Amino acid sequence: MELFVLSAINGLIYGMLLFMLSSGLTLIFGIMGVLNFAHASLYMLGAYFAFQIAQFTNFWVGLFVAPVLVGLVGAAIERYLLRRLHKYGHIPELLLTFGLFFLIEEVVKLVWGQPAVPYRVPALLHFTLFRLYNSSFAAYKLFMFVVAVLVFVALFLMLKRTRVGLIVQASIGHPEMVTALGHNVPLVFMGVFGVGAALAGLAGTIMGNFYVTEPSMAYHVGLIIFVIIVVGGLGSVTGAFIASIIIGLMDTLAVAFEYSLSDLLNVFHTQVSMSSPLYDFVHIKISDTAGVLPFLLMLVLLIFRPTGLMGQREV
Amino acid sequence: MKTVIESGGDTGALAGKTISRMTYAKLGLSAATLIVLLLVPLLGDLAVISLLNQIGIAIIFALAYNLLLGQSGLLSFGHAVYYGVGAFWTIQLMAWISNGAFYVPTPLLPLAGGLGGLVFGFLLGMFCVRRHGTIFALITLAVGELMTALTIMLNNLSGGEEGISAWRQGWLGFTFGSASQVYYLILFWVLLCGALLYGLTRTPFGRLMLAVRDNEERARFIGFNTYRVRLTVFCISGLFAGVAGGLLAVSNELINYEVMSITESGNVLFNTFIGGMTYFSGPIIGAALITTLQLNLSNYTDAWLVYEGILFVLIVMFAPGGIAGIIYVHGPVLRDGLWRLLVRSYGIAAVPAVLLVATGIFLIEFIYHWSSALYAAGAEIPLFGITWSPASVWPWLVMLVGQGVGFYLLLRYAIPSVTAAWQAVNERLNGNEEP
Repeated sequence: MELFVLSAINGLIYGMLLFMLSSGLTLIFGIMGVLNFAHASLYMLGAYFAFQIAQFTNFWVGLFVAPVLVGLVGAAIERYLLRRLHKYGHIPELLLTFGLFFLIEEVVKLVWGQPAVPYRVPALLHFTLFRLYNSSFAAYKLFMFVVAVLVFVALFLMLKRTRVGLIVQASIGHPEMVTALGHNVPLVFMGVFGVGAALAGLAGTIMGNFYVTEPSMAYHVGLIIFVIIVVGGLGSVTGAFIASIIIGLMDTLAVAFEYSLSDLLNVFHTQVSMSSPLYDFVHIKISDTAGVLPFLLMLVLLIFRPTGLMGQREV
Repeated sequence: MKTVIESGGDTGALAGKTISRMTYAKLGLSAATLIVLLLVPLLGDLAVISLLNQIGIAIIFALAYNLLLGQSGLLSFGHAVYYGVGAFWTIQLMAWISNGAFYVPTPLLPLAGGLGGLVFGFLLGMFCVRRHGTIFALITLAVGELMTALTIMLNNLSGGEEGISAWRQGWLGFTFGSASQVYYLILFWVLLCGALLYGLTRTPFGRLMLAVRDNEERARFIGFNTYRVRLTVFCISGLFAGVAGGLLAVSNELINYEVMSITESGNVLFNTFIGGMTYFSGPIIGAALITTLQLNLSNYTDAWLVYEGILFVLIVMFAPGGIAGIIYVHGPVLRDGLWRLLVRSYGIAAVPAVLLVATGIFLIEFIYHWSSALYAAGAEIPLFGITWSPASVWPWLVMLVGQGVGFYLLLRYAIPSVTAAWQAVNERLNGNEEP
């Protein structure tokens, strides 16, 4: 029970952070049809920029400056690279973002080195907030949660309550109509890409010091946010939110379960012998599969509900 | 002349002496290449032979991959799965053969890999090819991750993180103990697979793949089951990827889970795309070039992957036909003797190109030396025969000015001049054909 409550809290926070990343990605996909492979690279850049700024000044300057820088990088990618390829269709765009993903990881290794960099939680937030069942709850987790909620509320208000949000929403389904009405759709593209990148950068800024800031951080998160936007329904911010929470909870809860198929077989008094090739398979613990459960979820969902949870059309 | 893939065997359609002369030239060139390849082991240079072995395996894998990417328009991020399955089936078979369980002649071992690739290509393909485009790419990525994770977890099938090793057995007086004997084995399989895959592009089914790639709706309207076409392509591609994996097992005698990781999937994508996915010879050029650079440049610089990434992005942005595309576009120019029109503009373009490349390499290497653990604060960096101090303004000035001037010259003079020259060439080429 204790483990369950703790995992649930951690999963919720992790899910909120994942939403910060996946909301930008799903908006970009919904509007431009581009699956931005480099989205998680921008998340990584956020962490590294914030680390570098924190070296010169402190964490709080980085918190505000790093996401802006990452947003500018994102806007530049859209303006100078993606826009040129848009007329050739989605495969060249996907190839470009895959190339950028690869290149950014290598450049980060080149500049900051292969090992993790010492990006630390600021001293102001580095204390235990409360203890629950003998486990400490870091104050920084609450800080991350608050930032994520603020982003969620701001994004929601911007999309649902402002004129800009209205145009962005309209561009998801009917970009030609929005153009016909006299709106500058390329500008919308660049803006959405920039804001999405800035959100990814913000996620990197606040997650990089709590987890680890290293060159491989982009790949793992990148795969998970792909799963989230597919599960949530491409282009749906609400869907991305629900899927983020599901994946966040799944990730932290799965680690807590030490059961495997062999335990299930034991219930029926069946056992698989050591020499059988299936021996290893039935002894895979649920906790070991935490890393791949999201992919299984995505594949199952694509079979039974191709639109995703909240998607309007088939992905 | 159009591309091989897009227009199949259209050389016959264009009558004339120039064509037959070119065909002879091609045949002669192929024969000469084959003779050189057959004689290479006589040099006895082990490094060259092992490089060529790796290139051969990479070529088969890239040709198999291009069946999906180039010929069917399916971008896969997880094709190393079938390569890896082929490698594991073969290494497992080799282990059983060493135990005396049964016997298969060594040269036929890659067939076991091909079978593995085919079986898994069918099983996973049934699911993967239900979609195309971006979602196909995502599904293959997820399947690749799942299969890699499963491989690590299934210890007694895959040897876990260490992998499985087994030894090649001799056959008919060949011991396969030396790299050069393995070389002939790989060469045989490269030629066989290359011929089969090239032949496939000339069959009606090869044309059907292009139709499904270019206009799926119309292909379906004519009455073809496009799902079945894609599945067949996926299976064939899995089969040949499996053969490549099988050859890897035979040549390395050690296989672990990394063979099916995203790194391998990315590698084959880079090889194929940089070489040129719209040409049959593209993946061959790409596999040969990238493998050579990979093995040689990594001795000189740790930043090799940065260069590879930049090259890939540049190709995506400016030369979607890859290196093969750049070569083939000049074919008609040479044939009609129009190269004079281009020489001047290429000379102009060479100036900023050299400047950008030189200062770009300087920048990357400088940053690498500066940020690496070898560098102590305040030390000087030896590069290009000069020692540079990162604290002084000079190295940075050289790089910035070089890049700035390079970009200015590129945009202001090089691009307009090359564009104008090509316009002139195209006018002449089209002018020749119209009457």
